[in-house]
Amino acid sequence: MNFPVINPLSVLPEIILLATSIVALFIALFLPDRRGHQLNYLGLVGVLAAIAVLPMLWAKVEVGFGGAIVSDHFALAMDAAILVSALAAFLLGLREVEPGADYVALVLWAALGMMVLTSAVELLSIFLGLEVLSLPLYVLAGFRRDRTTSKEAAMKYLLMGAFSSGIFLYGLAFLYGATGKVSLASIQAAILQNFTSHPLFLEIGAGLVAVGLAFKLALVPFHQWVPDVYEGSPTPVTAFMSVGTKAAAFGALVRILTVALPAGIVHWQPLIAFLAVLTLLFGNLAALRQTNMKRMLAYSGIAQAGYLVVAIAANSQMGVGAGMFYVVAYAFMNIGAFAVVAALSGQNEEGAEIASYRGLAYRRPWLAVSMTVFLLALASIPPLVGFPGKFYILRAAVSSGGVLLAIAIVVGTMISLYYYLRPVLLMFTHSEETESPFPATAHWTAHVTVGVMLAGTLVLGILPGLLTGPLQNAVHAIYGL
Amino acid sequence: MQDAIGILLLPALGSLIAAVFGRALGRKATSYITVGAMAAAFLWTVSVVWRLLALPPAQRSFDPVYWQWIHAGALQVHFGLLIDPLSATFLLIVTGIGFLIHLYSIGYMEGDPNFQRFFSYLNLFALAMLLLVTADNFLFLLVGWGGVGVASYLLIGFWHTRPSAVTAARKALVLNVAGDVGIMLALFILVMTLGRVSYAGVFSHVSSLTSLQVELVAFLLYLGAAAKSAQFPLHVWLPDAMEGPTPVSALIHAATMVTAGVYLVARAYPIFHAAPVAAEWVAGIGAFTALFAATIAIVQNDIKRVIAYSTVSQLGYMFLAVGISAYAAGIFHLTMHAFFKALLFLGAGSVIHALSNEQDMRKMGGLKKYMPITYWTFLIGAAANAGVPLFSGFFSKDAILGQALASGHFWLWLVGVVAAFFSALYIFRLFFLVFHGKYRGDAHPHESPPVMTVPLVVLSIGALLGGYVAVPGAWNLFDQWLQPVFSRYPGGILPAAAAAPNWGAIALTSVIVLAAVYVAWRYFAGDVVREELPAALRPIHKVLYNKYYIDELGHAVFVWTVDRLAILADLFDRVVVDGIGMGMARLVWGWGEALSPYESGYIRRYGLAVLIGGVCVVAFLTLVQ
Repeated sequence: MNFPVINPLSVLPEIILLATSIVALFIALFLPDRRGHQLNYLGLVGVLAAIAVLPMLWAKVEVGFGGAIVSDHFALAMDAAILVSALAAFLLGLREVEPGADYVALVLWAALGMMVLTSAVELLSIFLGLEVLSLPLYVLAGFRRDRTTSKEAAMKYLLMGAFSSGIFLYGLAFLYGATGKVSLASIQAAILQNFTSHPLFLEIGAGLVAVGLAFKLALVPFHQWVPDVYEGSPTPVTAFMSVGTKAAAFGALVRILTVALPAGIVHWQPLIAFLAVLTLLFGNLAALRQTNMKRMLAYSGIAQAGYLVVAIAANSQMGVGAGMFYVVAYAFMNIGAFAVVAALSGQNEEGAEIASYRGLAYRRPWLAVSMTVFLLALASIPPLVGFPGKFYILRAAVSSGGVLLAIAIVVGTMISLYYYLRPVLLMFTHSEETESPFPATAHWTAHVTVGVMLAGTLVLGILPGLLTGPLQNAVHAIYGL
Repeated sequence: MQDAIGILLLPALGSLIAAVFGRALGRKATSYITVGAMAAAFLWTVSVVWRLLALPPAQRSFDPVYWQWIHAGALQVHFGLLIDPLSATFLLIVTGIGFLIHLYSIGYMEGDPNFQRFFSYLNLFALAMLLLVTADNFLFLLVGWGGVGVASYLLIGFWHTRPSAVTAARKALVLNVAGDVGIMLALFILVMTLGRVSYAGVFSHVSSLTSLQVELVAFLLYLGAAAKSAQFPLHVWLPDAMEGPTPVSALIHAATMVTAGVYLVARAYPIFHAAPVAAEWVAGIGAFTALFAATIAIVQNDIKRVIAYSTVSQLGYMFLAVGISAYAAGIFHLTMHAFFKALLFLGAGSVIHALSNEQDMRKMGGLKKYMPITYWTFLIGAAANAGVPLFSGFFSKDAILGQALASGHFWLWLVGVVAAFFSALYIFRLFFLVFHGKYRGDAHPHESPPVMTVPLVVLSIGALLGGYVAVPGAWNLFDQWLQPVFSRYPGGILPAAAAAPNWGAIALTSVIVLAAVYVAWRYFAGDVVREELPAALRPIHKVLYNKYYIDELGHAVFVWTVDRLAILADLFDRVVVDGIGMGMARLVWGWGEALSPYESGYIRRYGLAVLIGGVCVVAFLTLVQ
C-alpha cells in the first residue's frame, strides 16, 4: 500500500501555529490565572514566526499530502493577509477579551484553518480547512460570555455556519459524484474531456459550493449573519474574522472556480457577477442607516466583498491579481478601522455608537486622524490603498467586458461616501460635551496596530507597484504558468 | 546621480518634523532642523554640480528612475529625476538662495507665535520647487507646480487673521490654478496624441504632432507659465502677494517660484521651437510686461509693491529672451535676478523690520546712517536691478537685449530699452526715498541682527560679481554650461548668440540707465517728498498709480460675469441638480429603509433566505446554458 508523501515544508507555517497553540495550552497548566494574558504575546510570536518563514517558502512550490495541499505563491500571498489579521487579533485582544490560553489557541487554529483552505487543491482538504477555520470562530464570537450580544452572535453564527457547511459539503459530494475525482485539476480534466456522469450533478454541485463559500464571504443573500455577528463579537475577533475569513474564502473560491470549473461549461461567471452587484448595492444601501460603528463596518464589509468578487467574475489573470491586491488593501484598511474601534472602546464596548465619535479629533487626534485615513481608504479616495485596489478591479472588469459591473462598483462607491464620511465629519465637529464615552487610554499594542495599518494604507496607496509584482507570480501559480 | 533624491528628501523631512513635532521641539530646534535641511540640501547640490562638471559636457545629463508610478495600458509614468545643467542651475538657486532666506527668516520671524508653522511651510515650498525643477516628466512637473502653488497660498496667507492677506492668498491661488489647468490640458493633449509624458519621450516625438497640436500645447503650457510667472494680464496676484511675510516674498515671489514659468518654457524648448506663433507671443507679451510693470513701479509708495512690480517687469525680460529662443540668456538673467531680487526683498524686509512694520516709503528716508549694512547691500541690489554698468543685471539684461537686436527683433529691443530706463528710475526712486534725505517717520530705526545682515552681504556679493561669468566680447561661461541642454534637440541655440557684441547698443542702454539714475537722484534724494506734480503729469500719475485699472477691469469683466453666471448656476443647482440629487438621495435612503425588515434578527428568516438563495443559484446554473 502506498502512503502519500506528507512533505512538512508544504504546511510549515501551519505547523508553527499548531505548535505554538500546543505550547500555549501546556504552559497554561502551570501559569496562574491572572498572568494568563501573557500567553497572548506567545501567540504573537508564533504568528510572527509563521510570517517569517513565508519568504523562505517563496522560492519553491511545495506539494504535500499526496497532492492535497500546495504551498504555491497564491497560497503564500493569501497566508500573509491571514497572518496579518491574526496578528491584529492578538495585538488588539489584550484589553477587551482578557485572553488566556484558550483565546490564543482558538485564534491560532482558526488562522490555521484559513491557511489550509487557501492551499487546498482537493475537495476533502478544502472542506477540512473550512471546518477548522469555522469551529474556533464560533467559540471566539461568543468569547465574552458575560455579554448577551456576544452569546447571541455565537449562537447565530454556529447555526447559520452549520447550515452553510452542510450545503457546501453537499455541493462537494455532487462534484465528486459528477466526476469521480477529488483533486481540482483532475475534476477540470474530467469536465473538459466530457467524462462527467451527469451534467446536472456538476451544476448543482457548483451552485451549492458557491453558496457555501458565499456564506463565508458574506455575499447577499447569504450575508445576514454578518451584522449580528460582527456587532456582537469582541472587536479583535471581528477584525480577525472580517479579513481572515474573507481572504481564505476568496482563495478557495478562486481555486475551485478557475481551476476546477471551466467557465465555458459551468456558467458561473454571470452568477458571480449577479451576486457581486446584489451584494455591493445591498451592503452600501444598508450601511447608510447604521448608527453603530461596528454594524456600519459590517455592512461596509459586505459591500467590500461585493467589489472583491467582481474580480472573480472577471475570470481573468488580471481579475485574480486585482482581487488579491484588494484582499491585502482590505486587510490594511479594515483592520485599521477596527483597531481604532478597539483602541477607543474599553472592556465593555462603551461608545460603539457612531454619535459618540463627535469631537474625537480634539480629544484623541491620533486615533481620529487614523480613523479618517482608514475610512477614506475604504471609500477609495486616492492616494490611499483603497484607490489602486478598486482601480485594478475596475480595470479587470472592463477588460473582461463587464462594463455594467464597473458601473455598479462606481454607483456603490458613490453611495458609500455618505456613510464613510459621516463619522469623519462628526469626529472633526466640536462637541460641547466634555465627558467622553471612551476610556482615556488604550493598550499600547492597539496603537501599534493602528500605526502599522496606517503605514500599509499609505505606502501601498502611493506605491501599489510594490505589491503588484509579487502578486503577478501568485496569479501565475493559479493559472499554472 | 541616483542619490540626488536626497536633495528633495531633506526639506520633505524638515517640513514634516516641523509640522508634527514643531511645538514639542520648540522654536530653536525647529529652526535648526529646517534651516539645516536647506543647508544640507545646498551642499548636496554642490556635490552633484561638482560631479557634473567633472564629466565631459555631452554626458552631463542623468535620469535616475526611482519607481514606476502608473502603468495603465500604453501610458507609463515613472518617478525619475532629470539632473542636467539646467535643473542643476535651479537646484543651486533654490537651495542656495533658499538657505539664505531660511536663515534670514530666523531673525525676521522672531517673536511670531506660529514660528514653527512658518518654517514647515518654507521647507514644504522648497520641496515642491525642487520637485518642479528636477522632475523628468510633465506629470511630476505638474505635481511640483501645484505644490508650489499650495505652499505659496499657505505662505501668503500666513498671517491669516488679516483679511487682506487671506484675500491675497486666495487671489494668488485662483490665478495659479487657472494656469495649472492650462498645463493639465497640455498634458492631456500629449497623452492623447503621443501617449507619453516624459520629457525625453515627448521632445523626441514633437515632429509627429501637427502644427496646430503643437501650437495648442505650447499656448497651454504658456498659460500655466504666464500665470505662475505673473505675465500680463495674469500678473495681478503678485503685487497682492506681498501681504505675506517679506522672506516669503523674497523666496517665492522673487527668486524661485515666479521663475518656474521661465523654466518651463526653457525646458520645453523643443515644443516652443516647433510652435513659432506661440513663441512670438511669449516674447511679445514678455516685452510688453517688462515695460508695463516698470511704469507702474515708478509711482507706487509701498516699498514691497515697487519691488513686486519690478519682479513682474524683470520676468518680462526673461520671457522676452526665451520667446526669441535666447534660452541661455533668459536663464542667465533669471539667475542674476534671483540674487539681486532676493537681496532687494531682504533689504526691504530689513528696513520694514527696523521701522516696526512700516512699508510706506513716504514715512522713511535718511536710513543710510541708521542701517549702513542694509544701505550698502541695497545699493548693490538696486544697481544690479537697474542694469548699471558692471553690476550683474547689466550683463544679463544686455545679453537679452543684444540677442533681440541681433536676431532682428528690433521692436522688442526698443521696448526693452525703454523699460530699462524705467527700471533704473523706479528702483533708484525707491532707494533715494528710503535711504537718503531726512527720516520722516516716527519709529526708531536700527540695524538688523547679524542673522539677517549676513544673508544680505552674501547675496550682494552675488549681485555684484555674478555677472562676470559672462562678459560680452570676452567669455560666456554660462552659455557653455547650459550648452549641452539646449543643443540636445534642434532650436535651443540662437544663431545670433555667437555674433559679436553690439557695443553701440550696449553704450546706448548704459547711458539711458545712468540718465534714469540721475533723474531719480535729482527728484527723490531731497529731504521732502514732492507731492505736487506738474498738471500735465497728474492724469498719467493717476493711471499709473492705479496700475492701469487692470484690477478694476478684471473685476468688472470677470467678477461681474462670474457673479451673473453664479446666480444662474445657483438657480440651476437648486432646481435641477438638487432636485435630482435629493430625489436620488431619497430613493437611496428609501431603499435603505425598505431593506430593514429583512434584517429582523430572527435566525429562521436568515435560514429561509439562504435556502431560497441557494435554490435560485442552483436553478440559475442548471437552467442557463
